[in-house]
Amino acid sequence: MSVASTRNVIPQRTIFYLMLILFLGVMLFPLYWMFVTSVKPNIEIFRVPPEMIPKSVFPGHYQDVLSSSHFIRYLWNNFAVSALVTVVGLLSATLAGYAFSRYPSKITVIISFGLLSTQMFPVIGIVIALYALYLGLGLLNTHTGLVVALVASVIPFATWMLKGFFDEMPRSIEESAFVDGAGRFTVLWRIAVPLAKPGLLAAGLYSFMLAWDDFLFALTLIRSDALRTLSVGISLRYLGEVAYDWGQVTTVSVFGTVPMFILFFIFQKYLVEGLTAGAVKG
Amino acid sequence: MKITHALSEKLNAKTKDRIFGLLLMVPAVAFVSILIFLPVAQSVGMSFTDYTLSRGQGTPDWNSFENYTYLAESGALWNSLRVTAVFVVGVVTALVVMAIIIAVALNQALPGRRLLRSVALLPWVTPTVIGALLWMWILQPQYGVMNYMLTTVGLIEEPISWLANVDWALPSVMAAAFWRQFPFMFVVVLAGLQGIPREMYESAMIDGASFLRRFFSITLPLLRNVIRVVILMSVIMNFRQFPLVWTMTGGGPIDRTMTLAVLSYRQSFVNLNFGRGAAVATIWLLVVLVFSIVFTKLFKAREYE
Repeated sequence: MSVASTRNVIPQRTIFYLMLILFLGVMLFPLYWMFVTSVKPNIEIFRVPPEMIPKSVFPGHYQDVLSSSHFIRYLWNNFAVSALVTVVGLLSATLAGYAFSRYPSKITVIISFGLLSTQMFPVIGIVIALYALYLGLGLLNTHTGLVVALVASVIPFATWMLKGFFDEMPRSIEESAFVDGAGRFTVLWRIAVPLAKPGLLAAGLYSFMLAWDDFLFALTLIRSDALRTLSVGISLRYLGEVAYDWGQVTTVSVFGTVPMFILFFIFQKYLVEGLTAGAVKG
Repeated sequence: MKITHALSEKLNAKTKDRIFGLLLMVPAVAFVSILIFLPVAQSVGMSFTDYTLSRGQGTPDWNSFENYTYLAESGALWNSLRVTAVFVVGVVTALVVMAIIIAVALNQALPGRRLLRSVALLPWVTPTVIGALLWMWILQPQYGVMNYMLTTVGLIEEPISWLANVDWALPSVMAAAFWRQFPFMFVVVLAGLQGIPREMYESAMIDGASFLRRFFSITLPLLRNVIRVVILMSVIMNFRQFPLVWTMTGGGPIDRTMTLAVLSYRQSFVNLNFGRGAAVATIWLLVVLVFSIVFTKLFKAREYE
């Protein structure tokens, strides 16, 4: 045994570290390159061969972007829309997820699979009909219209995540509260919801990320520049027809990703566990 | 008397439970039915009409499958079906195979594994459109770092216009899609691997099973459920992929990256022909439905072999 294993140890270790470096390199290089490009002056950006590690930090693109009222507005709109979507979506998903877990019946089963089936629907089909619907209702080009559309699109997955979370929670505390005479809503609101905080965090973050990432709904349902959100704002304002200003593009990209990175690093434990648990369980 | 009273109270509690459960679902059901089910049904209906934005507010008329025959006869539909198939199959295969390889390689005690995992997940929290922009910059023909690296290493002689080249555009977009989705796939497969009891490997090693033997007789079979879920999820996700393709190529060059999602968007919001756009969306819905049903049936059936 020892002969075979010592013969294997060295190449295995090497393969291991090569894989690790390759994997991390491919995953992280684009993000590294985003930060590096954003702190280079234009002359440096368009230099061949490119400078892999910048010698100095050029703040010009950051100054430009921060002094652009458009960009600040896109960022703010994106934040406001995502926050609203998270609050409303999470509230609806919590109630429904709790019902699926604690009050199961034939109807909840049908509804829960109905929710799951929405994942297969073409978003563009939804958008086409919503556009026509909103046109009649006067909801076109409003944040309200955008928010409710996004709420509907985050509810299915968030509900399933929360159902899974409630399923894992012991019922004994809720049951003893019932024995003490607490009503159904009190038990839900005062006992189950506080206990489910990690699950709520995971589902809330997931909803926020999904809303923050939205492109198609905002692209079609919002027409005026003042109401635009980040992704659409960036792609319509900073991507020219012929030449792109890559310094500005990478700088706005930094502003679009860093809030997500911060949220992710703070809450990753909940998010990763919440998501992988769902997939691993099937 | 007392007994019947308790019984009726119990029944009553059951009904109350049921009503309470139903009430809790009202907001979610309302949002989803009004803003997902209703629009999807409407778009299916619209696909049989001449609904266009330019024709004003008049009622759209039935146009006897004209949208579908147009899409089929112009060849746009077949092209998009082919592009979507290549995109989805290519990205999902690469994701699953690479995720298994890397996760197996990295599934061992390693200093800073948690940090490694979180750092590796960053592409997944990067907004899709920004991911697209980053890859457009990397693949930029004159100043992009990809052409610089490949020419330096000697893999290519001339710089390639990745996104404008008919042969390279689709693979380039697929690479960006892979980059954004890989972290999640990796983390899920890794979580699945960690659920496999160590003792199984240990006893297999005592029996002298080789690495490959252990991989095919223990790892793969036990990962089966995880892989099944992950494949279904990522097939559906990649079918829906719109922002990445739209930002990077807009469907070009000469429709080489015109997935069903982009074709549908183009028909409805560029050509303002909602009927045709809805027809594309309807076909897409059918394809995904058929795939999901066949896939679940196939995988389920094989579990009882």
